[in-house]
Formats: sequence, structure tokens, C-alpha cells
Amino acid sequence: MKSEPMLLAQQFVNGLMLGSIYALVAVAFTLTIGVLNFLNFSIPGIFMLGGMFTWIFLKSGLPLGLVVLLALVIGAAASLLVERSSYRQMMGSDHFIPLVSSMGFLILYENLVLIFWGSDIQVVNSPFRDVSVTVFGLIISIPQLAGLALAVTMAYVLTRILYGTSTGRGLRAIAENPDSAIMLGVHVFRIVPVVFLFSGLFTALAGVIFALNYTQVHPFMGEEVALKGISAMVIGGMGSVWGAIVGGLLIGVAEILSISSFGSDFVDIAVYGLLLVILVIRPEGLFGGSALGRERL
Amino acid sequence: MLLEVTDLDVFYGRTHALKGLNLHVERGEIVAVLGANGAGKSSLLSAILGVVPPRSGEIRFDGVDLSGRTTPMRYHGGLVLVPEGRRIFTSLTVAENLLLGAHNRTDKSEIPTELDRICARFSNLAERRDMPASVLSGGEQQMLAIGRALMAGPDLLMLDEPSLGLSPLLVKQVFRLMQDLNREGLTILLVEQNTRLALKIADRGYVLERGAVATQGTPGELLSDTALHEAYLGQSQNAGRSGRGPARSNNESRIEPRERT
Ligand SMILES: Nc1ncnc2c1ncn2[C@@H]1O[C@H](COP(=O)(O)OP(=O)(O)O)[C@@H](O)[C@H]1O
Ligand SMILES: [Mg+2]
Repeated sequence: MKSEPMLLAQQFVNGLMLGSIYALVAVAFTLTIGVLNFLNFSIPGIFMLGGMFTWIFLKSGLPLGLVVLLALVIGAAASLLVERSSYRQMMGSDHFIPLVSSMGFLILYENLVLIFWGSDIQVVNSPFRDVSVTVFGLIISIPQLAGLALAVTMAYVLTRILYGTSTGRGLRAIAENPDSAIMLGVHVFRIVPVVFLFSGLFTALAGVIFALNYTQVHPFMGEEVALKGISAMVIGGMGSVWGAIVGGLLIGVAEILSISSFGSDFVDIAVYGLLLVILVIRPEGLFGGSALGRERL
Repeated sequence: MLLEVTDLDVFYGRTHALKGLNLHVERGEIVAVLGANGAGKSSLLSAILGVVPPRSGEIRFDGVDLSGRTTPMRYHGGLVLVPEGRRIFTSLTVAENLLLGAHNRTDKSEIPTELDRICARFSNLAERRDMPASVLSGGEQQMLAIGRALMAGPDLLMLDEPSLGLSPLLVKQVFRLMQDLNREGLTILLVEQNTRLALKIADRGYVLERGAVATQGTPGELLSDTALHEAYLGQSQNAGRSGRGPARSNNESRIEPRERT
């Protein structure tokens, strides 16, 4: 039996771990909003593909490394498909049109998976089920730890790209003013897919980690996570990569602590209450000032 | 001939913005494109860069037909714009704005040298290299827009109303700069509403009216054209322009008229 402070510390760690999943999804959202002013509704579908294909490939006996790689490739491809057939076609049109058509992709992906694998909740045969490390008496699961490390690493790589490369400069120029960027010869059609590639990778990775850690997947698993991801993005400040990470971790901690203190009925009140409170205090979000794009949404 | 535009037609929906426009630029020239608001000057530059697709007509650059080339490809080929209203990215630093200009260069190893050269030319920008471009004044932003264009390594520099919104002193600086760049060998296509000043530095000029060339010729020919005088030189000094005091003619007179060869 653990002492009260240890229990609290353990809950906090669990919250951070869950939060890293929200953080990855929030980064995916903040990228497409911050750079392209586009709320990409296909993200829950890509999260689900990451999770479902982890289950499918593990079931077929592939080694873990290959499973993760394949799931990421599928997620990235699914995201690039949205860019090709939805975003790119509708670039000149009203903002809500790519939004609606990306929602079409969510429905498409969910139903394709439903047709082939059914709507049942599937149990993932995760190699990490009974493996964990103990640090100072705190139990930390390996996929969760990997998730947190990857979320932070990928956010770091992303900011290095955004602030240290020619592609990143082009991206930020597009984020600030797409018309100017086009007029100045910025290679928009080469750069926009990069946003979708990263967004797809972040999202699919979140799905993979979710599947490995919580070992349950189904065709609609992305929707609730996406809502938390959007909340995390808003808390962090739209367009801010580190804001999305911090927002995701905050929501994860709030969720776990509210479950352990008040029971699972209070999760939504705690999470969305936190969102509300932060928006009242700082309407632009925690890192809103340093956002990628300005005046978004 | 460096640039040759033949029978160019541009539409925005049902707006016929350019109507069978013909224009050419020789290597080494400064060519001025004049005309009132809405005459189609910016549309011409947009069409040359492939930002708006022409309905018909031909644009040749260095003898090559540009149809089918994307805007980045045209920049890479040496066609470079200093856009109307400068279009500086204020969320990027001064240096990043300059580097953005070199976006389409393939000789990446040349970029740091070019950046140093630009910084040497524009000391105001060099001082604020790592600050966000939003700290720059209007005149400095115009210099940044020109510096950014030079970073692309242009063969033809196109400027869209570079004097717009600048004080007379800064206007003079910008025009001096264009003269200097031209003496260094750069070909310039200058869109201006500041007719007098533009004709002072230009080799030839075109006057656009409702999407077509109304008159063209040397500055001398255009300045002696009485109709043009009434239409543009008479009013354009006051109409639609603010911040121009009596000092204006003073400053202008210090820009040397172009030497004919
Ligand atoms: N993006 C656009 N959409 C619709 N009409 C436009 C657009 N840009 C310019 N026009 C129209 O085309 C004509 C020429 O405009 P423009 O090339 O901007 O003239 P100028 O640069 O000489 O002021 C004007 O009638 C203008 O209203
Ligand atoms: Mg114009």
C-alpha cells in the first residue's frame, strides 16, 4: 500500500503519460491551424488508423519495430491523401470547405476500418502489458515513457525545422500570409505537404502509443482523444508547438487527478472546466503570443 | 530582348484587367510602367510571375516561353518582384526575410555571401538583423523588400510602386538605389504612380490605361505628350497621395536624369 503523497505522485505521472498522447494530437492540430488556418478533422481518423493498425500488425505476428513503422507510414499516407484530394483542391475556396471535406475523410477512414474489422473493441496484444520500470517507487510504463520522450523530441525537431531551415521559413511565411508567400515565389505546393506529413506522423504515433499502452482499439477511438487534443491546443495557444505540448500534459494530469479524486463522472467537468478557466484568464492561450501564425480562426 | 510580353489578356472572373498588352524590356534598361489606379500595372507583374494565369498571349523571358512554369520556377530563372505594399513578414526576423528571398536559389553555398553583401549595402538592416521585421520603419521595410528581392539574384527586378507611402526623402533614397543597381548592371521594370520621378530615371516608359498601353516612348516623348501631362502629371502630384509637402520638387531635382548613351 502506497502512502498518500506517493499515490498523488503516481497519479501525476500517469497524467503526464496520458497527456503526452493528447500533446501529440494537439501538435498535429496546431500545425495545420497555425500554418494553414485549417482545422483538420481527419486527425481523429488518422489517430484511429495508428491504433487499429498496431493491433492488426501485432496480431499478424510482425515484430514491434516493424509494426510501429508500418502504422506510422499508414498514418502519414492517410494524412497526405487528405492534402492531395481535399486541401489542395479547395485551397482557393472558403475556409469551411476543406474543413467539411476533411471531416469526410474521417468518416471514410472510420467506415473503411468498420467494414474490414468490425466495430468491436479489440484487445491489443501489447508486448508491454506487464513490463514497466520503477523509478523512486513510481511505476512508469515503457510505451508511456517512450510516448512522452517522443512527444518532446518530435516537438524539438519540429521547432528546429520551423526556425532553422529554408522549408521552415517558408512554412512560417505561409502561416503569416499565404498570398504574399505565393507572390514571392515560396514553394507552397512543396511545403504544404510537409505540414500534413508531420501532422500525420504526430497523430499516428499517438494512436500507436495509445494502443500499446491502453491495449484497446476500435474504429471510433479517435474522436474523444481529438476533442482533448483540440482543447489542449486551445489551452496552449493556437499555432504554438510547445503550447500544444504543455496543454496536452495539463489536460492529461487534470483528467487523471479528477478521476482519482472525484471519480470518472467528473472527468469532463475537470478537463473542460480547466479549458474554460484558462480561456477566461488568457483568451489567447498560454503561449498564444508566440504562436506560429497570427490572427488564426 | 530580356522580357517580351505579347498580346497579353488577363481576366479576374469577368473583369478584363489586361487587354492585348504588348511590352518589352531590353537588358540593362530601366523601363517605367505608369498609369492610374486600376490600370492593370500590378496585374501585369502578377502575370509575368505566373501568379495569375493569362487567358491568352505570350510572355518570353530571355527568349524562353514562360507558359507552364510555376512562380517558384520563374523566380529561380531570375524574375523577381518587390511587391506593392512591401509584403514583409513581420513574424520573421530581418535576416529571415532576406533569406526567404533566396528560397529558390540552387547555389545554396552562395547565400551567406549574398546575405553579407546585402547587409553591407543596407546598414540599417544589418543592425537589426536578428530582430523581428515588425520593428522596422516604413522606409526600412521598403529597403528590406528590395534586399529580399536582391537575395534571389535577379536578372530582371520588378518593383511595384516602391515609393508608395514613403516620405520624400525616403522616396529619393529608393530611386537612388534603383539607379545604382541599374548602373551595376541590373535590368529594372518599375511600376510607379510617381510619374515625374519614374521618368527621370527610366530609359523608356509605358502608360497603361484600362488594361492596355495608351502611349509609350522615351521620357522626353512622354513628358512632351500634352494629354499625358493633363492625365497624370497634372494631378498625380496631389491626387491620392498624402505626406507630400512643398519639399517634394526639391528632393526630386537631386535625382540625376538618366544619361543617354
Ligand atoms: N484579385 C483580383 N480580383 C478581382 N479583380 C482584380 C484583382 N486584382 C485586380 N483586379 C482588378 O483588375 C484591374 C487592374 O487592377 P491592378 O492590376 O491592381 O491595377 P493597378 O496595379 O494598375 O492599380 C482593376 O479593375 C482591379 O479592380
Ligand atoms: Mg497596383
